[in-house]
Amino acid sequence: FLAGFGNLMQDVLWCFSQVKGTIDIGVTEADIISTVEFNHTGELLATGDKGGRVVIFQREQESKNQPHRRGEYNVYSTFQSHEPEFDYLKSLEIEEKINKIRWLPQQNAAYFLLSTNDKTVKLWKVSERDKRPEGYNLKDEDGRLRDPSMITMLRVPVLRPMDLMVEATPRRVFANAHTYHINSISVNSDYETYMSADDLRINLWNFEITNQSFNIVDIKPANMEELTEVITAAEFHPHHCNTFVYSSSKGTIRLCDMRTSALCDRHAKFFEEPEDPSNRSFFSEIISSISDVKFSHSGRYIMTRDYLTVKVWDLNMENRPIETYQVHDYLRSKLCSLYENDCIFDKFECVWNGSDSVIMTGSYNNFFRMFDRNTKRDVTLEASRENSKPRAILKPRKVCVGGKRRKDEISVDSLDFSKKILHTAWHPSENIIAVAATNNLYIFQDKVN
Amino acid sequence: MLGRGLKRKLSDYEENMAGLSSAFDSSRNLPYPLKRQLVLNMCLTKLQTYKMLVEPNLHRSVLIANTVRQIQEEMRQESNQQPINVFFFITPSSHSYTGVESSGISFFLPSGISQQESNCCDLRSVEDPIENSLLIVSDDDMSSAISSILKDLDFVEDISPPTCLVPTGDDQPKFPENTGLKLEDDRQDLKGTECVFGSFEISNSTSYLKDLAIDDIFEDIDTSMYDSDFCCPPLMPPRPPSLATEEPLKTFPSCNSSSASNIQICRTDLSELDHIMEILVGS
Repeated sequence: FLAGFGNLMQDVLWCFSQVKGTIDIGVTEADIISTVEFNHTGELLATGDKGGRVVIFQREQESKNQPHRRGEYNVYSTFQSHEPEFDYLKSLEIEEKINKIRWLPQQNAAYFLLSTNDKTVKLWKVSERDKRPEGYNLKDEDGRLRDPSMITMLRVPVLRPMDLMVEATPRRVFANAHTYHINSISVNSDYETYMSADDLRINLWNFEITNQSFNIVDIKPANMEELTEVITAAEFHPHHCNTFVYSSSKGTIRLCDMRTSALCDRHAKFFEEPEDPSNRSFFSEIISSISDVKFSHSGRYIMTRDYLTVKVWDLNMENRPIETYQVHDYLRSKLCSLYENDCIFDKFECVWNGSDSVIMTGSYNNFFRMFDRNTKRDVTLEASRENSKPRAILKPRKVCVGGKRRKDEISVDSLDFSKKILHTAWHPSENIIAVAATNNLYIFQDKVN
Repeated sequence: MLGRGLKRKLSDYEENMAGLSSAFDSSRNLPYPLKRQLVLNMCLTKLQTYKMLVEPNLHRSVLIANTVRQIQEEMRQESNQQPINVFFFITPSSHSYTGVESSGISFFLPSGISQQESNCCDLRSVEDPIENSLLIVSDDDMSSAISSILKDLDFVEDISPPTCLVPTGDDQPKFPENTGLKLEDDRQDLKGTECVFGSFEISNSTSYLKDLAIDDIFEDIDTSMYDSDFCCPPLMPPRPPSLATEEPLKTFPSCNSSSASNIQICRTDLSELDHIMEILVGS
């Protein structure tokens, strides 16, 4: 049977499938993966890294000879998307790190994706070339021009097959529209526009126009000294092209309707959970900052990630989330140390599975967590080389909080905070997940009987 | 380019901070005001470190500034209930927390140390090393510190105004408002431009100084009073500041195209601004 929609947690056993990246002990900073994204069919999987490169993997066709090896992902295309830049006016280096990649839905034979660093968004076209024209009249096979006087007869060039070549070409460059660092891009469901969001502003672009953008949200105060809140993430509604949400560093989400006014400074809906006084600490505000916001595929819910929890909100209920999941609550008693070493500012992402029944997010020690919304069961898994035998089933991990530590458990103080899983992706229709652990990309699939 | 002595102090400082924060986390007996003071110090130290960076992280700066404001507000409310003087305090004796003290001195102008030392007797008498290391900072100093950091962020970041707002038909009546706002931006950008060029020169000279082997030359002279400017960058620079500041010194004539157009945009903005100001003022 093919694992597909709506599998309950207890039925799903996750197995190691592949790992991409080197095993070197010393990690080159440029190789650190900074974003992961499946395309709309799941056929392609793109990663961006700190060095400004994009690597696209393509799923191979399933073969009847090896039914247990369900389509592996192999490198399809690699290209340098962004280069480091130096802004001489401000004496600032502009990092080439790819912050986000978003795919456009496929409309012809070519694939299109948006990739962005802190300042510039680029539209890339990835296309295949498997034929080339041969038999030109005016030049020979090496491209050298022929002497026209030597040509005695004319022929029509024909297309002959060649080795498959995958080319990536930048089709549009959307630059100079963001003063602050871009944290999100989101393609609109009309497939004609997209938005880019930085700390204080959100701009709306038309794919065809690169020298203009509409500013649709601007939260910069007239006096910067009054600044208390920044935009942390933004996303378009999956079906309603006029609706989008953006999250803030104060733990709030605003839903905006672009039909009401050109500048969406007044929200249509405002989602905020009242603070729990029993959990109040000096770090309450910092840990409430939302690091990621994602619409469900259905468009009925939004999921937000803050430092310790993942929350699911119903669009029709603004005063509190309908579900809250603890990702690593054992860190609540370590907040001061985590503040001191800046881990408290780590931005974890979160993802839905194809049927919106399971949500996933990362943690430390290369752990990642899945929560089944229906059964309320959760599991902690680890992305590590030790569990990397082909089709090896991942064993659930457990962190022990205090008292006696069981044999397989790991204590909070032994967690490796340098191994953080910030970026994960879930195949749009199957139980295949991609987990980025520093410079390695792990692909896990559920076990096929 | 830093002396070995300074580096030792820094790693001590980092270790001590890690020790303090894990003491915060693990100890339930730590009194609340002490915990609060510890967090406040960490916040202020971070903000100061960010100030030294070429491009501070806006998100983090805002979060930390909010935390400071929150603590400040709490302390203010407490002091409204009881007449307590919040004062400036420096331990005269040197021990492993020198790093914290030096940065404290550079950040907040010490005003009348000797007077205030006599007011500090409550805490001075406490032997607890944690308490001895903490700085108690005045309200005004904190507010002005936060304000100056956020203002600096504006000057560093928002030099070029955002590329055009394209007003749709609906927005026509709103357009004059937008122009007004844009002027404000431009005026701030004007100040900002000047500030960038101003700090541009200053940072160049400090980087030049860093390149010299100062500590070799002045090894026997006690420079701890003046070391605050040098102690922060190594804590957490995303990239060496000297690289960022030396490059433009050498290659300023050959800017890349995007920044060249930025300069041109700024210049045309300035002349347009003058023109608009003349019209508005009616001179």
